[in-house]
Amino acid sequence: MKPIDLRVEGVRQGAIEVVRNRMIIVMALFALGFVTLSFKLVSVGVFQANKEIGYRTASANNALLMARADIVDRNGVVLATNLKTPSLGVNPHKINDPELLSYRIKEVLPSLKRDDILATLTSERRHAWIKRKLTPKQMFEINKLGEPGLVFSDAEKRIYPHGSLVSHVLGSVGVDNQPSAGVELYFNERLSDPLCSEEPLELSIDIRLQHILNQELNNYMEKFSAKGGAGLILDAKTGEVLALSSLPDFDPNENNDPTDPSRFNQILQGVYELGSGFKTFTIASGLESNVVDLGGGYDASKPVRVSGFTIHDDHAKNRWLSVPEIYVYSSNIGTLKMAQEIGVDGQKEFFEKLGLFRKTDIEIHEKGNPILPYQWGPTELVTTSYGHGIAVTPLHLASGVAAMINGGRLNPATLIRKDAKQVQTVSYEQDEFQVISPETSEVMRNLMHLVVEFGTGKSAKVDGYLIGGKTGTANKAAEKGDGFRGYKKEIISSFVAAFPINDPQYVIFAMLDEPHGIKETFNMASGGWTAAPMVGNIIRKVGPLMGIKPAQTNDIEFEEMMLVSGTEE
Amino acid sequence: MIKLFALFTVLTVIISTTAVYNLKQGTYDLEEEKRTISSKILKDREAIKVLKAEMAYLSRPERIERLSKRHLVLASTTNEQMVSDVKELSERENVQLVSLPIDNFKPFLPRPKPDPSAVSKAPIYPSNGEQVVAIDFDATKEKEEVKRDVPETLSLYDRILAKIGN
Repeated sequence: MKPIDLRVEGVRQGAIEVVRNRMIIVMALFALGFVTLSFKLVSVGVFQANKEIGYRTASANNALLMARADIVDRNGVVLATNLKTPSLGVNPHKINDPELLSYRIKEVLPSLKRDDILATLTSERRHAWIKRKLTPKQMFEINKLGEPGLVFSDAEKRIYPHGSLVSHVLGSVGVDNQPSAGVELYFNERLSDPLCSEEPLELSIDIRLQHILNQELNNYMEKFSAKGGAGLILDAKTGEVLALSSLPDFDPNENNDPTDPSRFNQILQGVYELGSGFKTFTIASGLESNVVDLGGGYDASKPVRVSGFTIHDDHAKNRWLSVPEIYVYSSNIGTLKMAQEIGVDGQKEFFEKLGLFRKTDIEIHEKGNPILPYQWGPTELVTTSYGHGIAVTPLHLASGVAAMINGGRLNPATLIRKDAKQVQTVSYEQDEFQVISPETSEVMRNLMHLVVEFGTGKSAKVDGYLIGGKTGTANKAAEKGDGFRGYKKEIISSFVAAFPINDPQYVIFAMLDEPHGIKETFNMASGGWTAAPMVGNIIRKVGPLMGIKPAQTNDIEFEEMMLVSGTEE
Repeated sequence: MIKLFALFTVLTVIISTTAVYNLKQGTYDLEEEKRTISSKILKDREAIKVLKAEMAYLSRPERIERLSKRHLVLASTTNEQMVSDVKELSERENVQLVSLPIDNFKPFLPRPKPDPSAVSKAPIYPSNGEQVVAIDFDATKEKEEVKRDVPETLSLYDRILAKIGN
């Protein structure tokens, strides 16, 4: 269609021109408006919408990020995790028949008192908690009641699937996940850090070894009707704690009272005079400082008087003893004579180097401070040489012994898995240092082996494995209420072992608190009769589990330095 | 000219508006999808956590030990069952481990404990392979006499001989 060419001429032409010009202005304005609108549309569509949606998803993720990180053992078995558990709340204004409802809730939750439930249901508040952290089954039962006034809200609950098995290492958390002890408390910052809540904290504990240790401790505690028992398995080379058990223990799933005596960790908190285990240190110190060599020995034929006290031997041989014999027969007299030659300064320096004068470095806050003699005179010098008059935690002794046999390096004990590949977000102390020379360490290995082959630790022997160890029996120090000073009749029997002794992998410590002799042990309750067979049993189970191959030959060093025949009682 | 320009402008506006709307809707849908997926991931993670906790609970060493004692004919390994080297097992010079022995020996693999109260499903046949005949009182007596003649302490070879010889 051809447009009609319409022309107006004359006066009207000017008027039309004016109108046309005005229309162009109006149209331009409209066009400008539309352009602005479309720009706005584009900007809204592209930028702002995204911003809004992005914000929403981020906040959804945060809900999970706030959770506490898991704790796993060295093989990735979950030791502590968080599960969403429902808490039952109520809006009392929406409840019609609180009397009836309280009976029905009581049926589902028998642990509550009905009067308390009724009081909550009739309270004036808008929202009140009836019970926090219900089981899924209880939640189902409550939902079945069909009461609209009852509301559930999710909360995280810390779950310990293994119950009391690892309780003393893990500690526990309260209702609002506030930690109260153990690793939970020590690594609280790391565990509650939202940025690493996805990465579990890897402990050095091996749950299988922990079970073996726990089981044997339980068996032997029952067998010797002991008051308590405690044990520890250390990696001899790295200082990692593979198992740590202290009985009686507690179930961290139940919100225990922190003052409960079963919360006391005998391995880390308890300080004891551990007795003969200390002879390991004295003899190593003597050999290291060349005060005596292996060919040397001391006269142990009669008891010694030191500052008014007479010191006897428990397994007295009443003759001259060589250095291996002093260790193997656990001679107090021989050891103290060696300590007298080392001198106070030498002994203090050596103990200091072993870290016996300060708390251990392990990653738990509840640690015992060693109890040291007030002054270090001639009496203290001799008593500390065989482990009396100085009280340390069993962990002190175990890591010290580990240093004696692993080539002389003292590794601070740690609960965190040491692994080059795994980047742990927690740092651990790694300042191992040489305490004794590798040569002295080799000698100490052989001496400990002799103890198990011929000496006080014979009952720890396991066919096929080479084991080294040292028994310890010490009377408990009298406490305030006992009405006398000095020592009680009750004893602490302990045994510290290393195996396989030709290339030590594990250091095992076990002790029984106040064991009682039984017929089978001729009423003896000392370390060699109670703790040593327990450690033997532990090794019998741990060895095959960890793939430790039995030794082909049993080479015993320094055998010729002992008068074995004729000295057996 | 103006008309052309106006037409162009209107068309551009319509096209761009539609495009922007489509884009926005598309993004919104994707966001929606992303949101459902991430909430699903959250739920799945939650479920995985629960399952892991359950796994840890069910595989407590104490429980496994109890179950294994009840259901399996296995005891704990002792160190006597281990050797430090294959060469220890044989006197030969060139001993090599071809495969793990456990794979080739079914009896070594875990298997359930036989139930002592279970009734055997195998049919009961006369054990000596003789034909079952009607009981002849005298004949059974005779047989018993024959059995009595054979002392119980005979060796396997003697017992076979006694059977054939009769």
